Amino acid sequence: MNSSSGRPISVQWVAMIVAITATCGYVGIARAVQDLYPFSSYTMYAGVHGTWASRLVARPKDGIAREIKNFDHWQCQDELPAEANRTCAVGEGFRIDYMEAATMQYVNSFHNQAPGDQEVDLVRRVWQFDAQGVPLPAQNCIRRHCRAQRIADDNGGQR
Amino acid sequence: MMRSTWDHADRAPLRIGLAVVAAGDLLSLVQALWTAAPAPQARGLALIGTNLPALAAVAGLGVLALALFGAGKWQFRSGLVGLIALGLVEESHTAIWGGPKRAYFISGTLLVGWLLGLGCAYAIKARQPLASKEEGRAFAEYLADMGAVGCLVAVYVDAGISKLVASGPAWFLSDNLQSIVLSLRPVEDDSLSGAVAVWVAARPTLAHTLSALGLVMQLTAPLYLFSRRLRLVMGSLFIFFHLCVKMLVHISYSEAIFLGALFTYPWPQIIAWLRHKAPTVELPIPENIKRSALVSGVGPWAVGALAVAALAWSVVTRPAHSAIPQARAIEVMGQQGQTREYPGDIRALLSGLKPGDAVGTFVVGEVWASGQDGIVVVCARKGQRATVQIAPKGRQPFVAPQTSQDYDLFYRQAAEPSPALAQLDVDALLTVLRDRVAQNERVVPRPALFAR
Repeated sequence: MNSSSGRPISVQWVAMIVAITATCGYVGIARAVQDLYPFSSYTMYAGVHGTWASRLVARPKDGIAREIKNFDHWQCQDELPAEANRTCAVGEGFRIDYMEAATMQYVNSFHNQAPGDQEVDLVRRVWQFDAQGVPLPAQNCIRRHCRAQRIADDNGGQR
Repeated sequence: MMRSTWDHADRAPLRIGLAVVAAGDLLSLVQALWTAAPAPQARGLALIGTNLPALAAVAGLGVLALALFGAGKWQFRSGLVGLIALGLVEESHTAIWGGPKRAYFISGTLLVGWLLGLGCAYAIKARQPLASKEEGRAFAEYLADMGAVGCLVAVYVDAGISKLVASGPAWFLSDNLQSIVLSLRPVEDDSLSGAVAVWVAARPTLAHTLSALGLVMQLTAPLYLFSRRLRLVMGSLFIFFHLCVKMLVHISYSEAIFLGALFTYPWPQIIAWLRHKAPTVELPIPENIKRSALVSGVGPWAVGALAVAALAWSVVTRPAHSAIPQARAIEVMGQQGQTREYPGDIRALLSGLKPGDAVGTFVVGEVWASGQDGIVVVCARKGQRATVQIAPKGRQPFVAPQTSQDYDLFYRQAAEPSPALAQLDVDALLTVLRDRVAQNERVVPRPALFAR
């Protein structure tokens, strides 16, 4: 070991080098693999979305939108064609795909059970934006006519 | 200068907190896999999640390793085993559910940084023996703390880079945040946070400002590393960011909040202040390290981290997961070196489909097949491109959005930039192609390509 290689360096600089190595290493690996535990580039919600937002909801006969998971015993008819409802064809927009997948998985999970006692529509609720970016009142795009049953909460009321 | 809010204090609470969160994540993932419906098409890592004895063994080993890590026993090895167990279970979960559970990544991320710091410290100690075992442990955990927060910072930087790369300034100048809020907020949410979310969604200027501030916070996250005060400020902003996300869109990153708070704030001093006592622990840390020990100790780790990043960049061709399992991108599609063909039996299965033919509102651009990918149909319409893959049923480890009797149909967006398609358009495209296949599959023989 020569004299220059033995010169001391502050332990805080050592810590800085370790921290920056960790940051750069993580970012580099994550950019490469995208999603491989524990590396992720967290790309969800990174893209720019379209001109409307939407989510699936349940709409019983009273016309008030409810959460789909507040019903069970879902039995639905085939999906309606998009042309059946003008709201369904508003163009490109935003939906949370994994939520919709989970929702449809929930709805389809009752296929072996008796249908519920209420008529409930499975509705895509669509919000368009005006030129200033202010959301317009929600519109309803009916996707399926279904039967389902409102789930009672622990106090005997309805969820 | 690199200072930590935990300077002069025993960092055991950091290690224990990290171990507890990591073990909690591991058990949560195991519970999700345990209660999941059986996946008959499971293969690869998904087999761990569908095989209860294997899952129990990996989980048991992982929890034991993390317990040892928390207790400070064989820290590097036990932490590494815990990390591998977490990785196996998380990737198994990903393989079965079609997408990663990113909320559980943060403990593994900090664990990687902690192990990196420990590795550097051990390598330095091997070249420059320290005065006492106590000093050696304090020094190792000091560097482990720095490695962990280095990775913590990287998470935010990376998320910011992803937004810039994918959208540029449009990310905060468009209706993005409002769309996300409206699409995620439960319709029956009468809470105060629900009212705030609606209020924000109705104010584009406020939504754009919040989006921009969030992006700035993510891109300036490395400031966290440069002083104790900045660590407090940036760490508080990280936590505030997660609380805002929770309030606006009901997405909870409680692990990130807990670990962020644990590593950011000087808890030993806070607790001592609350007890009206001075902090009692004064752990010795060497003031200086020989340059040669640094170069030979940290150098290989730094080079190794960069080499792994470069290798991953060049070798790993795995694209990001689509969030939706049913419409998930087929990750093996279009790999180079495959033989693309369009033999007569496949042509018959598709009723003679060829480039230029109309498929619903689309026009076929390319159609070809390979043993690995199945049939690939690339369609275009007014600047939009979409790719449909038709594979023998069960050949791909994903849930297909549409199926015929013998085939699964998947959709993916084109690899090149193309405006996103509405789900209804995707559904319509898949339906047209499914009907073609369904019409022929009982009549024409099974294509030879799929019998191989």
